[in-house]
Amino acid sequence: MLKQFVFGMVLAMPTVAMGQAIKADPPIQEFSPEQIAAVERPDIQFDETPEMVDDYDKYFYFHRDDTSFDQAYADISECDALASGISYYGGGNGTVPYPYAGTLGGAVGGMIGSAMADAIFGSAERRRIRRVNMRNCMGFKEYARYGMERERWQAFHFEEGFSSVKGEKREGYLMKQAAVASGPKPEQKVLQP
Amino acid sequence: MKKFLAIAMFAMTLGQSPALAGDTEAIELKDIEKGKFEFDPQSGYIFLQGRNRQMGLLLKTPNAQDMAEYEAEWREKLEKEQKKFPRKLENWEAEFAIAQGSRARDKLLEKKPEEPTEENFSIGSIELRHMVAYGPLFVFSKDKENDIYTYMVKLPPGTYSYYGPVFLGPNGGYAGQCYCMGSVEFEAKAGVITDLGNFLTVASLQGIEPVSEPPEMKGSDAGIFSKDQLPFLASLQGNELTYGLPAELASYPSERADFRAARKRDNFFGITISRMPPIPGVLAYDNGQVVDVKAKAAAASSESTGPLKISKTASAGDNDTAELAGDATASQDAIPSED
Repeated sequence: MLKQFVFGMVLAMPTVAMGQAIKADPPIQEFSPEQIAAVERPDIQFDETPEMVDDYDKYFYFHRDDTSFDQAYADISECDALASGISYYGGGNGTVPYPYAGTLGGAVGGMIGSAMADAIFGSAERRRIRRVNMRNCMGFKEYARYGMERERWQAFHFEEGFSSVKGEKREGYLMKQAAVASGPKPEQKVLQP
Repeated sequence: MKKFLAIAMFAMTLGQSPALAGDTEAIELKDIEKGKFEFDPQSGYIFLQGRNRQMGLLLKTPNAQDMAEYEAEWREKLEKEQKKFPRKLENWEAEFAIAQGSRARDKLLEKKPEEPTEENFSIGSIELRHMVAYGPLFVFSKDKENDIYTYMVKLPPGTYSYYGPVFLGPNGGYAGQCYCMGSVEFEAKAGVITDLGNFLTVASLQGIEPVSEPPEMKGSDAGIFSKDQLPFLASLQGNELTYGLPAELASYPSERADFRAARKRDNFFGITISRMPPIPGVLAYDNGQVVDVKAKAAAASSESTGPLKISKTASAGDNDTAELAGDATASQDAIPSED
């Protein structure tokens, strides 16, 4: 997708750094053609079985037409941060000690976060919430969602419960996801967001 | 009147100073009837209503003084941590040397202290120091026959954004869904009761035909946003905007809230993320970017003589949301909180 400059209205809260404590929103990271070419393209071809379809709420990936690698990486990074409770937008950062302090459990659209909920619902609920958040966030950004066979999915995704994936390893996964999201249009059926 | 102890206790669990705990109070009708309520012209007040009990979290936009205090505290703590760092590193190095050849080595390696710098040091988000929660308890009044609940909160004057239907528990727990990816904000002026009506729950549901049954959803999908859910929400919350203060508040200055689009926010509590659905004339989206429809309209009518910020954004249109907002060219005024 071509990037374009648009006019944005003045924010209620400045996004430029006010001193050093309040950070600015992260800019879009620009990658060179060589950097993009060096990203390993995951294998997304597989023969679908009914069992796999049942697991598409867990194993999925995103794609949007006419989207550049830089844009896809920015979108996936933003959603990854929101999904995990990592600080992303300007206005202060490092809010919740990493990994994020809250967790969730419960009814449709409503969750409970506390140490007690962690004990009751466990790591599986945290992993589920991360999946839900990635779907909501990427769905709002108009990315289409596609199902994936588990082993292939694990080659370029991670789950996050009580433990987390950090640093270069995390970035490597996100780069591969961006390559797929901005790559050739998948031939599979598009799923509900 | 009930102090929002929950805020104080919650803030303490995050190591934050509960700045608003002492300045924020839920006002109840019985306080007025018993003559216990004293209107403070230096404070702001909000009044809201809705079907069923309501709950939500508001984030006050920090003013210049808030930011200066935050900055000073950050600087002071950074300097302290920088002074402590050499000793911390020494201790770690000693421990690491002993651990050579043992299983503890790898774990220790992960715990190597990082030097605090201006780039990586944080004292937590400033936004969490200025939050106001309301509901579901401490109602102003309730009309059981029509299932209408009202809430009134005294708070510091300022601009507040709606963080979403989030409840802060007294033991550090929290429940709900953040509108991290788009919401609205309003100003609460000093000495004025700002009437929010039922806007926060109903503005996005205007004109949507209600249905009594929710759409089918797998359990693992709980929390997924779908436009198909809006008709069911309309049956729960209604689909017509309603404002108005009760007679007991008629003698105090009041005005209807002027809602505008608000920027995105971090998922402070690691809960489910969502966004307020588009609101005609107020809030729209373009590929996930928040669009300030009012600002756009104002700029168009005055041909924008004032300075505008320039930011990068995506290009493709978010057609369905733009259409809902009655704004097919929404991409020209995105609030640059992402990308």
